[in-house]
Amino acid sequence: MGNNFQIKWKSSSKLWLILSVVFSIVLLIPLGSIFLSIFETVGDGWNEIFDGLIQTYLLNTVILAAGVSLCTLLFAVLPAWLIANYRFPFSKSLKWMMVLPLSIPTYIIAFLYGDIFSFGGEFYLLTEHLFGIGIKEIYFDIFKIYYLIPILSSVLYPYIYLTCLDSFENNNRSFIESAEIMGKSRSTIFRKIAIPLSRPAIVSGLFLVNMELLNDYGAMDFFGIQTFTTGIFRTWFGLNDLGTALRLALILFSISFIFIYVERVFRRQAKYYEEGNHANLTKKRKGFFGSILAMVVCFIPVLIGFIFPIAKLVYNAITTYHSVDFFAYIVAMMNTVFLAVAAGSVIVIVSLSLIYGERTGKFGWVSKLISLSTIGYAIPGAIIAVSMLFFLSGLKASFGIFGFGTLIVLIYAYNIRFMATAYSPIKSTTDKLGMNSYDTSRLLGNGNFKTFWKVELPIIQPAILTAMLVAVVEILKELPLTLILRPFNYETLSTIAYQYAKNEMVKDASIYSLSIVAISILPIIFFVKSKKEQ
Amino acid sequence: MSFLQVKNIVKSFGKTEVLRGISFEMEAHSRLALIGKSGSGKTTMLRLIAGLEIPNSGSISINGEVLTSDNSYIKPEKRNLGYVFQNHSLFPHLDVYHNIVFGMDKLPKKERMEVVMSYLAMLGLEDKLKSYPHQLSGGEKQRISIIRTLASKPRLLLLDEPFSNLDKHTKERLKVDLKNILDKEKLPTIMITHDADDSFDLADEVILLDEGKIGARGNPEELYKRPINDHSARFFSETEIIEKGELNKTFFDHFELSANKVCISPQAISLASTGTEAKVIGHKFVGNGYMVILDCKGAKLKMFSIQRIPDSSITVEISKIIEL
Repeated sequence: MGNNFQIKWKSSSKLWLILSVVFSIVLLIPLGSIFLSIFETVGDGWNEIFDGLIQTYLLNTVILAAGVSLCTLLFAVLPAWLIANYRFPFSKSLKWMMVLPLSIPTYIIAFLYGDIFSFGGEFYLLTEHLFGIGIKEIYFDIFKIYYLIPILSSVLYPYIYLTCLDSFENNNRSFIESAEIMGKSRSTIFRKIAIPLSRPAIVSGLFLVNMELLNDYGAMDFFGIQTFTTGIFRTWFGLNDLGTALRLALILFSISFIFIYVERVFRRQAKYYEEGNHANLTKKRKGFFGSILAMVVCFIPVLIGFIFPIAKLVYNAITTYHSVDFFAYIVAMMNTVFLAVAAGSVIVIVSLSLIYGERTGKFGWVSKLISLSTIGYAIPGAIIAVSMLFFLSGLKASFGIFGFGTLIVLIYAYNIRFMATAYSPIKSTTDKLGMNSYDTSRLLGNGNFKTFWKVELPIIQPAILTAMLVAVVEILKELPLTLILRPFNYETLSTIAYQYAKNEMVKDASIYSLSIVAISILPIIFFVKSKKEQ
Repeated sequence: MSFLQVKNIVKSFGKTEVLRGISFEMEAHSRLALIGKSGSGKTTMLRLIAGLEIPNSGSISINGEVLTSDNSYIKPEKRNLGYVFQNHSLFPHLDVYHNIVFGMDKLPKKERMEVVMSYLAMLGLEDKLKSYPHQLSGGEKQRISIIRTLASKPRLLLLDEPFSNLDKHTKERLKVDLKNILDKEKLPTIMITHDADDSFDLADEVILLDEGKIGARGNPEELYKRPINDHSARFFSETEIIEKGELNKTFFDHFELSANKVCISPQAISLASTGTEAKVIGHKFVGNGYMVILDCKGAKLKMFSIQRIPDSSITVEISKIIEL
């Protein structure tokens, strides 16, 4: 058709289409600009890093990725299988308690366990008090990469647990029942059928775990582990060498893309695995010893990832509250809430524009562009921060505009990083809704915007609220982006908690950390409630 | 000039060509059924008429007004067409009254209630005025959906498999209601169905789509009685299509058939004292009787019988053999 473009243009909603294309480009430009950084001149930092540190970064990244992957699998897969297939005391409560560690950011768990196991920490006090073992007899240096692995895993395993639980609960029932009829035990079915069938779900969970790992700065810095993210900070803050920071970001970007690629390959397989009868399996009752074993297996991750850290945080907060600067605390809280709500609102508005641009548009390339613009969730915050810096310096050189150190730039960066957190829940709801209601409204004489306002908005309101809540909490917990891009002296709960911990004042960070965790629990409660209602 | 003109419509999704040059016309006040198997392009054709899809080429006009062509396009909300979806598409957050008045913006508010009540009364649903969609049964939802569409006074009604999600009893009741409404409103209608019975009950013309092309067109009764080709024969009844081959050569020779393909409806075969000999090779219970499978001179035929036939060899009379 000669006038195909014109016809498609006429049939699309122009407002949504223009907004979605503009927002997609705005979200992608800073990330795209990072590729131009290859031509950027580098300082002496690059030679130093290239001569030795880069191998260390790579090795540490590989050790952490492998170790945390293995450890999170251990924490998550068996409990998910037990909870999905068996009935034992507290199994219903444990099902949701297993998710709670998600509310504790990686840097906070690192601060807490670092403090518990540091010289004179609670661990040694307790062993001496209970068993009379002196500190010198059992002291070990906690600040090693191998100890950081289980610590981080204790708060990252829920990503795998949730995807596995969903997969085990929805595994094709006929496969499992056929195997049972053939006389196979549930443990054989677990190894030979459930695990292979859930491979895409496991990979999807592992992907999220590794993305969080690559993103982390606070825990690595606190433990003194050199990774690409800490390298980016060091070269930018320590050496003021943006060129080297950009090169490191580019390498980290490539590593992220390997993970994205692997996850996409497995996600394509998931479609094949999803065929068939997905009704829930009847849960079997565990015997006495089986029940105890199942409870222990499920309780250990919750104990390490939530109960111990929360107890420690509460204890610290009670013992240090008298020394807290409440004015600074209130200011940090207000700053955090303002920033999170402002950025969260922008993220929700932009994601609505992206979704409706795709939903009402007739151009295939627009959908691809929009899909690409939500990729920030898989890009570590440090990369986004340096790409923003590079992009802003480009703007300054070309147009004399430089927004570095302003809230607008920080909110812009949050939009790149967390767009998917709002986009996904809304998109999933509109996808389920289908186009029939939308089309019906249009055929009854209403335009695109009226249809959105009167028909779809009232229906998708809960999804918008969820999206807002998740985005707000993610922003509230965020550290690397905020540290690099925040305005001078603009403190949030996470930046103050980090600074206290960095200055070996972990106890003083407790009230800030506890506030972050308390707010972060909200979407988890919300999620659990909605799952129960389902 | 015809009321609706569809000219040479081609539509593909990616590399799959769904419609391959469809052209047809429709007169005002007539009721057309688009029938065919899943994936034959029926829904796509309806969505193209509604403006919900854009064709790769071709044009669609109503009363001379071009709705879609190579260089023009009118948005769905400007076409004044009514569309009833398979799954009713009632807005879940609005009650029955607000669902129905949703498309009645042009009517003064005072008159809306009167119109709504008159439609609800026609279908015996007056007590559902304040109900929400989740409080209605499947049949009630589909009735409300039809009322909502009719209340917007469209110039053409498009029905996309309106009975597909309903049980047999509800479906039959809804068909009667729909027929009464359409007779009263005299509204040109295009209906999609994969059930030949629906077209017998509601349509005065049928277009059979087959793999994106028009496979057959005509009056449903005529197409049933005299299928134009094997597509229409297969679609409209349990008509057996027999292709000439080694095994059934005797059958073709016995009846002196010149065509290589013939079709015989089960109703055309009956037990007789004189005629052609056949062997009973099986029975299939079909509720009100049996479909008897016969071997007649090497050809497999189906015959309807109220009772089981105990004999293995019988004599049958074949009243009509249609050569394709």
